[in-house]
Amino acid sequence: MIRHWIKILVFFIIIVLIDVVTGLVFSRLTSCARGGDTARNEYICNRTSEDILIFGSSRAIHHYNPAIITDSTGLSCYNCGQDGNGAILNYGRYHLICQRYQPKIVIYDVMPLYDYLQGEDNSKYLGWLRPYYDRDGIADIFKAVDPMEQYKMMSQMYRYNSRFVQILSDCLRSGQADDRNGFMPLEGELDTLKIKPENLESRELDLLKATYLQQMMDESDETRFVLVVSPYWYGMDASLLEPVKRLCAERGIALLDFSNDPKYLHNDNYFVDGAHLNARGADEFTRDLVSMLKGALDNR
Amino acid sequence: MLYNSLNFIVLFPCIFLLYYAIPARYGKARNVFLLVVSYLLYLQWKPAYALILLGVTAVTYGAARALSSAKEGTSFHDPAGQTPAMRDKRKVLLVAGILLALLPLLVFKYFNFINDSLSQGLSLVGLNFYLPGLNWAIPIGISFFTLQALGYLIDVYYHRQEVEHDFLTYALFISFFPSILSGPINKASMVIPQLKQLRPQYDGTKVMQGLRFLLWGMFMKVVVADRVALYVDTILPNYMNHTGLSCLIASLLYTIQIYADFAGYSLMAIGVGKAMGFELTENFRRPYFAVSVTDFWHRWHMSLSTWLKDYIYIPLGGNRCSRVHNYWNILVTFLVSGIWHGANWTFIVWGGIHGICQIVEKMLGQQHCNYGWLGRGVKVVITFLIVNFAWIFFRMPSIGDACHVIGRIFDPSLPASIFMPTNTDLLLMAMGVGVLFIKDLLDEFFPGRCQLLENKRAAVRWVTACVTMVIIVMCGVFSADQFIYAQF
Repeated sequence: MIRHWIKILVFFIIIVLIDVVTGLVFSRLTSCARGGDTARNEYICNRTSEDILIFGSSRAIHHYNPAIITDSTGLSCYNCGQDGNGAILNYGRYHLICQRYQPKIVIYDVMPLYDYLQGEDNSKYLGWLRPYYDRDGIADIFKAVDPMEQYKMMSQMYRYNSRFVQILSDCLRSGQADDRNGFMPLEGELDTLKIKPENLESRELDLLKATYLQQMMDESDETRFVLVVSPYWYGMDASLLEPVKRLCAERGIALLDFSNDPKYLHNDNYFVDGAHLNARGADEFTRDLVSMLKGALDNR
Repeated sequence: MLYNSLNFIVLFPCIFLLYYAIPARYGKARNVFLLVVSYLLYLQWKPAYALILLGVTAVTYGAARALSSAKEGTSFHDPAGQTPAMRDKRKVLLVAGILLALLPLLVFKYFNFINDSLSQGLSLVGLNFYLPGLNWAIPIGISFFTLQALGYLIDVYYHRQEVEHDFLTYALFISFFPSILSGPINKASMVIPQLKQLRPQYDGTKVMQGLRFLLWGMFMKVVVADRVALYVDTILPNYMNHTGLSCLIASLLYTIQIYADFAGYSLMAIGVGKAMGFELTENFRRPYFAVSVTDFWHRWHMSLSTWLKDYIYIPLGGNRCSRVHNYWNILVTFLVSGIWHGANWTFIVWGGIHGICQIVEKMLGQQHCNYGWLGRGVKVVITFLIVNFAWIFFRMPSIGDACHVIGRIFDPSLPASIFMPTNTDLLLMAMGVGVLFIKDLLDEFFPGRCQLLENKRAAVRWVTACVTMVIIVMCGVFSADQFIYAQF
């Protein structure tokens, strides 16, 4: 009996050793990734120094062209948007950034489902923060999202769960986003199969997401926030924006709403699906945004 | 307790250590410990529902005791000397016991379905009758522990099982924590003797085998099933936004998902049982290598198939009747199987498809394979496609949705594009499914010859166990919270 139990113990000691070594190796690989999302994430969390940062979901990463913003404002700009993510990841990243410097302007693309309405399990938003779990303030986010996460994060291997393939490949090749300052335009025309809007009316407020969105706005006094709702092919029910309108009004923050802008509404030329602009639409929208941005910032 | 949860990872070692800390000579104390643990774990979910578990246990225990008293004067092995009055009394007791034990299942699982179906049926003839629906959660594992309890009761009635006088032993048989959530549906004749006999203090070989089962079951669940689910759950709930080819791939992947999910769960349940020194019923034997739908049911959810055979199919007359009657028995058995899975017409259609396919196979004499290797391969593929087709009804929320998905799959006017997951998801999915396929292929065609976790050489076993563990942590999906069959 004792022999078997020693075997079980030895097995777990081996696993712990593998865990520690794997953690060290992947931590190193993450910091020297040459391209892809790994290098992009590392850049956002540890190396950004731009004046203007753009945050949001896939609608941020595909809709805002930093080159146009820089040309128009004379300020450097980086697009920190991330597919399928919202306030929880964005707060974590912004918190890490603010430990290094305070950007002048943050443009936040609001998507109700990801930023303040109840959706799927919130732990899915923690993926990109896992490698930075030990950094100041990040563990608190994990604890708030799911108290069990703090125990899972004791494993170094778990921090790279499902990402190790990408990390390895990102160490070997340079990525597509490098020369576009984080912007990833979508090429192509409207796919009519993908224009069905999500029914969000019945969803309730997700206090955790809303709190992080709020905390992000309050994180730094030196940064000017602008919230933007970029265009939807199918438009958006204006009542969905009420919570964010209240947040902006309380803080004197500008909210620029393009969701039902007639220029984009049902305009097949500018979209690849119901929620995402194509490259042409993104450039057009960024130009429209910049022209309104100056006014919005001056007015506040 | 979900095996893929952190709760389990923390609690199981504690349960394991405390269980083995009780000396083997105190077998009763060990059983009491397991019973307390089983109920405490059940209470974790919705405490009030433990009363339902206790109620079903008490009803079937009492009914079995009453059945046993009613046959006094006849021996267990020779029940023939019963008087007609005694027989009638026993029958009444059996029916009353079955109905009482089934009552919670009927109320919690089927009330809304029966109510909706009735009101819809009545509205067709112009009558408006509707009772308010119940907005209650279904007690977890109710379908499984109810069947297990009913099996015991019917076995006692037919003198296949001696009545259990010790309530604690019987209560542990019904509530045993490894299998209460989603089976296997164990037979009393298999588990009760194990609970009653003095188990060895520690059976190292069994414990190690149990832990290996646990490891492989976890691989099937978190590396294969939950990874594949990411694709399936993107496509099928939003099938209107996807092409027929994407729907086809999602349906094929669902076929893999449900196997890896349920077989993985069953393997973990059996592994936990083994680690505690118990043998539980085998539940899966590489079902997608079946050569017919009949063969599929000899390999898929075997504990349910056995239950349906013993308590539905054979009492209906089995195959000892006319051919037409036999076909009817098969169909009824699989319709019951369908409705057991869920209170929805989709499950009834699913059961019906399986029943009809088996009838056709029986009519054509195609239940087994008589065509050599190539013929076997063709039959395996055909069976897989039939089973895959039926799973569409199982997966979709309504018959209309299932028909729409099938319609899209066969609609040539839709573009032939495929929704692609991320490269990482694609690679991890292919790796998980590939490993599972190769293992099942080797186990099916070269049994005992290519075993890694059970290899004779310790080095191979150790390396395999470590690699499997690392793959689970690095490639597993840990955000999924539910086993598919836990909802039944």
